[in-house]
Amino acid sequence: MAKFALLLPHAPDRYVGLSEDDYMAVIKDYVAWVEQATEDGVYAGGHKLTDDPGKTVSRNGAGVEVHESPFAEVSEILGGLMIIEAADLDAAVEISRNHPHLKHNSKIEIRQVHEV
Amino acid sequence: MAQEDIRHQLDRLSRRERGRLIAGLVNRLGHQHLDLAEDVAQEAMLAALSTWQYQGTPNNPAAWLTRVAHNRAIDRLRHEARNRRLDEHIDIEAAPEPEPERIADPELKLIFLCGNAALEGIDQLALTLRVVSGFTAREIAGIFLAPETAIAQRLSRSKRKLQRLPRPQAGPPSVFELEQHLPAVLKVVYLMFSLGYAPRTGEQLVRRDVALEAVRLAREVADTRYTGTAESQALAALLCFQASRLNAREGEDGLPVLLKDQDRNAWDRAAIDAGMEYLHRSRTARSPSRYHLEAGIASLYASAPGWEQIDWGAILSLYEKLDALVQSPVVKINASVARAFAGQAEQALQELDAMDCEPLLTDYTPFHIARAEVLRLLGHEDRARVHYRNAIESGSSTPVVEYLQERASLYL
Repeated sequence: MAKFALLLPHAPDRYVGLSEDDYMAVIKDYVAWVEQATEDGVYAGGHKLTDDPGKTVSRNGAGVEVHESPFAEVSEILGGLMIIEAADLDAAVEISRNHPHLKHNSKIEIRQVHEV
Repeated sequence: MAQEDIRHQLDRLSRRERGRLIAGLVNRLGHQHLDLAEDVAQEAMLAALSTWQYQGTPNNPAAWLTRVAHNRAIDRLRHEARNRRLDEHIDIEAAPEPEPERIADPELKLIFLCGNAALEGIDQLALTLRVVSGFTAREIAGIFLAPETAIAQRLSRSKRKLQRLPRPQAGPPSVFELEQHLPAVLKVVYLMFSLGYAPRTGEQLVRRDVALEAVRLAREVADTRYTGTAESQALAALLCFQASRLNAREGEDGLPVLLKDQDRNAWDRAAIDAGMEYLHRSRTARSPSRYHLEAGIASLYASAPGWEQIDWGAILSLYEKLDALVQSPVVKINASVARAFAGQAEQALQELDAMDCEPLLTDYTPFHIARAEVLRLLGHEDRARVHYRNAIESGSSTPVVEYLQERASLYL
């Protein structure tokens, strides 16, 4: 079995001003999917990134520059990542088809984890 | 579908945990912090679910949530104290010893707080659904068929009222005060069940949860030493009997199934047995309450091996006692139906015809159904058809209307 990372981007203001009930409804869908994937033996873990935009550290000549990130208006930010196990990329795609991220946001990037 | 089941379980878990958190916090901090308790419980649930959505649910969610809610409550109280520049010492680490002869269980205390006489009946029910049972304002709005904002406003007004109450009145009732406050609590639970059981529009799954939650509360009240009066036992019995038919009373097509046509194998045997046990324990009453009489009626339906063996004479006699006790047109209708099945259909029809002038019954679908069915029993098919039409026009949920149309075409 190979491991695949599901990268889950969303619009920067996707969860801004959402009522608690609406937000709860969204995350419950995710919890239910993760529970199901765990039961099916394909879920290998994940991390939610905080809503804090964070910093970007970049090389500037010989030194290092620190920026508030994102630099400029971006269309999406990474909300978190999940790791699943699947035979191959096609199988990973199949597993992701009913992912709630596609209901509440628009896309999932699937990348294989490099393992030796 | 399996994911749908998990989602439904998750809804139930979060309602249940939310109620438990609020009860624990109100118990520690006092009723004047009901708002804070609710906020903190909500924050803890949000924090929990946000984490679980990537990491899965922990083995012991209750412990996790209690720790988070407790820490947040301390932070909030310290923060508030600092803002008010008060030097008050906050010690919520040490839970106060329960006072003697007072109800000890935090959840029961919260139920009694929500059933406080300062609130109107509908607000008692809405607040209980919200803070004890953890339903969202949106779900409650869906159940009451009211706008969400209206429900939210009523809920905050109720909480403000309760928080302003002086300690003695809002505090948990002593054993001696129980006799005074318990009836309101039982009524809230009874209404909660009726609301969940009623086949009206709205989210069916949530309605079912409301009904089951009422059964849980009724059993908890009945099983607790101080609150387990004969009346509480009778209510628990009644709700167990009614809940035993939750699965059987709706067909696969979503249409209601009459008691007569229900598959008795689909009745929940364990619930019926529990009902019989509560009914037995309720016999210490000096005089039967409405719950005793209704539970008695429900037990006769539940214990008959089939429709043909139902003891209509006994049911009729219980309905007559109930009618004398509660003076409700709904009870009168049911009594007349029982009378018709007990072999006195002509007299039953006269009773129902006499109720025709009741303006409240014009929109009450079961009234028209009862008249149609009794007329059919007497062979007056033409008149029966008129009343089936009245029933359809009286505006009930879509499944009921569809069902009535089917029934009208089948028999007439």
